[in-house]
Amino acid sequence: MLKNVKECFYPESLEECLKLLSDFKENGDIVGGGVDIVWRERKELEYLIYLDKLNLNYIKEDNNYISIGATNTLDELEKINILNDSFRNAIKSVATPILRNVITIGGTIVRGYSWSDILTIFITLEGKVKVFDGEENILSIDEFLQYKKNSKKKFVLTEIDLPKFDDSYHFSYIRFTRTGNDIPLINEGVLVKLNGKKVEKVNIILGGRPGFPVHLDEVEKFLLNKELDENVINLSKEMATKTSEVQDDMRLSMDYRKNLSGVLTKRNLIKIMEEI
Amino acid sequence: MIINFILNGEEVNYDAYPGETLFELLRRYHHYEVKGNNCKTGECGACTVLIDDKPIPSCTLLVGKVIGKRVTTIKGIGDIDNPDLIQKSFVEEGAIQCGYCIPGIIISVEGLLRKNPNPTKDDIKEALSSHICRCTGYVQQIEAVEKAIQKIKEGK
Amino acid sequence: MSKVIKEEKIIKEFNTVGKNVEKYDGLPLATGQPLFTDDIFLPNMLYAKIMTSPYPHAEIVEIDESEALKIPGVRIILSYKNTPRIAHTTAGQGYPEPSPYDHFMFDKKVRFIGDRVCAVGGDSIEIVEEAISKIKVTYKELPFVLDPEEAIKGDVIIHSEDDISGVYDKNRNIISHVEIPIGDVENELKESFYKIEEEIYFTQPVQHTPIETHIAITYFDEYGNLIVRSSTQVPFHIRRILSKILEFPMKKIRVIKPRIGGGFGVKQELLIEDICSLMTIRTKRPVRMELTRKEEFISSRLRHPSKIWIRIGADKDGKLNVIDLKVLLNNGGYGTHGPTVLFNSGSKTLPLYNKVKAVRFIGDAVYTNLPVSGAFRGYGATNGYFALESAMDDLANLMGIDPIELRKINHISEGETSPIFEKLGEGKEGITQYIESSALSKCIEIGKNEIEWEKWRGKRVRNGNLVRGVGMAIMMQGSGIPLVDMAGARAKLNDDGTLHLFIGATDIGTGSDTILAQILSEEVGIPYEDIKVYSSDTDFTPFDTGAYASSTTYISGGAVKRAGNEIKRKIISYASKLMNENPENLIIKERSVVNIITGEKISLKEIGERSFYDFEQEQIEASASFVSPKSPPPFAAHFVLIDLDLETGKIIPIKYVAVNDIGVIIHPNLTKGQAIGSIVQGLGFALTEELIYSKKGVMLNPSFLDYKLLTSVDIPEINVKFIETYDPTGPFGAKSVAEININGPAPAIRNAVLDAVGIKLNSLPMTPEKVFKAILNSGIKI
Repeated sequence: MLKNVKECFYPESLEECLKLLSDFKENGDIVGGGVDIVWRERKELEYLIYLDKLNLNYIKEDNNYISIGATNTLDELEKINILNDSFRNAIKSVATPILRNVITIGGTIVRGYSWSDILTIFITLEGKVKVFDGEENILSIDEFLQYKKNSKKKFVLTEIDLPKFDDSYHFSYIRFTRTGNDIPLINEGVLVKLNGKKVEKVNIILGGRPGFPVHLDEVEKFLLNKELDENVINLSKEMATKTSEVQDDMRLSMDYRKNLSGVLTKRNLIKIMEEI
Repeated sequence: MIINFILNGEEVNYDAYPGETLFELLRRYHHYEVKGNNCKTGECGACTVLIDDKPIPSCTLLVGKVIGKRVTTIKGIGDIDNPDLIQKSFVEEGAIQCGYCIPGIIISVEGLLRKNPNPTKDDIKEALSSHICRCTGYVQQIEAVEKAIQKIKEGK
Repeated sequence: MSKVIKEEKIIKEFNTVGKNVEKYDGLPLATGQPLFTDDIFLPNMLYAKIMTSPYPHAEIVEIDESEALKIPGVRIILSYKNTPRIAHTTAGQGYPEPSPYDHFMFDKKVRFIGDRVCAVGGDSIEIVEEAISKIKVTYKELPFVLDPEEAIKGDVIIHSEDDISGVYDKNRNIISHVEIPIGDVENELKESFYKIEEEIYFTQPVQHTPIETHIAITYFDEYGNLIVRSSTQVPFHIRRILSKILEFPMKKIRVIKPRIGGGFGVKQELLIEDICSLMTIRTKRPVRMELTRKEEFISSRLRHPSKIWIRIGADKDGKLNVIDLKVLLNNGGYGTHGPTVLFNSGSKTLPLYNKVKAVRFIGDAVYTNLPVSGAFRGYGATNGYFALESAMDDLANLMGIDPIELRKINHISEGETSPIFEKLGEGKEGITQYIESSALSKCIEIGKNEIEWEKWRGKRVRNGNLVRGVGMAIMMQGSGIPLVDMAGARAKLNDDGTLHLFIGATDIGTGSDTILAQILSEEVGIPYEDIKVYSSDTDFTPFDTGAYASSTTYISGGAVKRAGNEIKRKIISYASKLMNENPENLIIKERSVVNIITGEKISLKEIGERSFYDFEQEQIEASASFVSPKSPPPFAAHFVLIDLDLETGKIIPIKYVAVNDIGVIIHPNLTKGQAIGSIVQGLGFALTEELIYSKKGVMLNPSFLDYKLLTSVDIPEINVKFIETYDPTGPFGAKSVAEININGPAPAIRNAVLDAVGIKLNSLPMTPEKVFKAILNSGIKI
């Protein structure tokens, strides 16, 4: 129980929400799914701000983007059928089914644990977020992580946008775990745009290093304009192992993470190659 | 703060602490409706309830999110005189040993079947992966769900 | 009608035994009834919590509760200053316990991070937590030791108190030491053609993680009796120890065990009941304490981490000449089950290969400043089998023969004995045993075929970066502690023709209430549904040692069978008077006593009524007890098929086959459940579970976030089969099944890895990173 919480608010507009946040300062916070808030039990929390009346649980599509309201729980995202089921499978690998029914996409991105599957997935897919801080800002995920760190303003993350990918795009996501309901000890997303068999564009995002997700730049550069075959994939694996920046933590050693970064790269690329 | 919602089909309202979870509320007013030791991370799944047909660990759910929702606990699924098919199947297949994890698992299975009445064995295993059972090793639980689905299909 | 068939001959036919009757508590559990310790509401209840030590080894100089006592709602604070100082063991064992009396309710010293400092009782858990944060404790830090091999040197002495007893050598931190040489070990090893010389094995600390943590609620009833309602495996031992250490008369203590949410040995302890009880005695209010998951990891009990040395010698044709086993247990800050776990690591393993010319067991259980290890399913045998069965495969490898052949040449069989039985008992000498039932060879044959051993063994079939391997292990356990474990049972007839069964036996989810009712039903000849069971209440039920040592089916079942036999005799005797007929012509059948000659019958209902009200009135009932000089071992053969991912080191179990001889099966589903549950726990022990400590003795992963249990998506296909034998001393031929199967997965998987890549993994758990490093070091090409 958060025993110092005195009151709950259900603002009906974003402006009202911001006002509450700035009035309450560190004693108030937004509740997404609330899972993180319950677990953290911050003593200074006295006011909870719920977003239920802001109607942020839509999923819309237009020609260019799929727009996902921030209060959608992760299980709602499983309904988004793009990239040949691979997006859906990636979402289904996160946490456990019961937690996916309560964790929100907005909350996950705002909380932004460095090992978060969601961060890796959405950075790979070049997702953007809409952030309201008095005016609407549209930021890439990386930009948002910076914004969160540096901005002094109160904000509400309202929407996550995924570009619409045509058939030339392929996506694969792998997380390395100890058991079936684990957080990822290291994870990687790969998005490839193919022209025939040739790689026209590629994102390889390694997360849970244990640091925040980053591009494997050298491997991306290597893959441009190459055709995906066994040899290219093995060379990518070696390059990933060599160039990935990873560290030790209690869960995995640096050397082993390096090895895994190569293995994940290889397996993601193989999955994509098999899809073609 | 007054919280009103629908508990097992009945409209209820309670005086809740604004910072408490549904688990804490239910244990205060209904004492034994939910099992669990309030880990607040949803890691074992024993405290799972249905919120509008979706299984959610109640120890992670702030009461402020429950207002107006349909909440179903194990008592809303069936009772000793009138157990539902899943409960009966669990008893028949030896899927229950100490039973502490069972209400949460049965709720998860109910949630699965409301979303997908025709789950594959992998779907069933995935639904059970939200739950830790230290006694049974899961095999008989998976069998119990499969048998129950078969009975439902046969119209029993 | 279920039948027990031995070699095509029908031995017995049963009515209830062998059937999947409805589990006694099945529907109540499935419908979420209030069956557990916490499921009662007591007004005016206090909440209690223990304040624990932040240091691995320290003296408590001063405890200043003044600020905490100012908080409204704080009602009582217990510490060494205001509690009785009576040395005891926390282990739930028969008296006098084979464990050291080295524990006090609160001591002036702390011996591990997580040890008791003081305890607070207050009106709500929030108040208590705040009070604990305001208690100021002054410690004098002492040097500490975490490694038992260091601890034995005696530079740091963990228990120096004058008023403790039962410790083998306080000055070297040795709780228990055993050295049993039989025959000339060194000579036999020298003369052996094949030798495995000094392989060393390491097992890690793991925790039982019952989903319901330790919880107790104590209160006074209307008569001033102290009621202890606790999630425990040992209600009678709790009552005895509480009476002693609280200096409170035993006749005023009643311990009730409701349904409990798992035990596996961690609840074979007096862990929190003493604090709650004393708070109730002093405040007169109900007191509730529940351990958080973190406290359950740190401050309850673990499986002993161990280091095991083994040497084996065999002659040219594969017969084992000698086994030399040395076990070192890291016990943590207190002794508890240390001595008996130590003895069991040898006594349950070495007899398996009984034909050796020499055998030696050396062991030490040692204090360190780490969280305490105690009883955990398998109880030392699990550690011992990892070493023994792994070494056997290494020997087979050395000899160039199939590991199965090596087992077949050497394992114990029906009619045989082992000198170990007599030499190694429960912390002391044991009792000679002869194997009166064993289908181990058949178990091995059937399992071998089921796993398709010939298809995979030695072939190292590749599928991309996966390589396949098969491994196996055989094992035995025991059924109760001979001449130590005793159980009582009482049955009485009601005036509706049904029976009540009162048993001390402790159902910890295992289903003992169910199978004991089945045994009574079978013996008396009445339907299972006509029996109401009450168990584990120290005021209302007869004595039982509790749920441990795989004793419930065999020992408690033995008592129930005797009581059933006695009440059957009494019912028939009464009926013979009513019917004016020779009792030899009467049987119980179809809820009546039937004259087999004339067909005349009187219902049990009528017998009950008339016995209560109008004809030679008496309460027809019977009591019986059972204790046995025998502990018939169950046997098992385990086989596992794995894929090893060479790129990541991950071991993927694909199919697991366990073939058991547990005697006659009383309830197939419950038996299967015990086997599968044990196997999945064993797989966790083998692959993923591990508690990790910092260099200062801090447990780094006391939560499910980083202590990983296998989930439903991690388990392989598990196939358990049973070959029924009929044990002459077990109730309807049953032995036991509670523990044995947990001993298989670790050595079987380790041996499968040996088959797949030729690498010896001698340290548990076999995590991907560990395996990967071993593969790299071995120079195998991926």
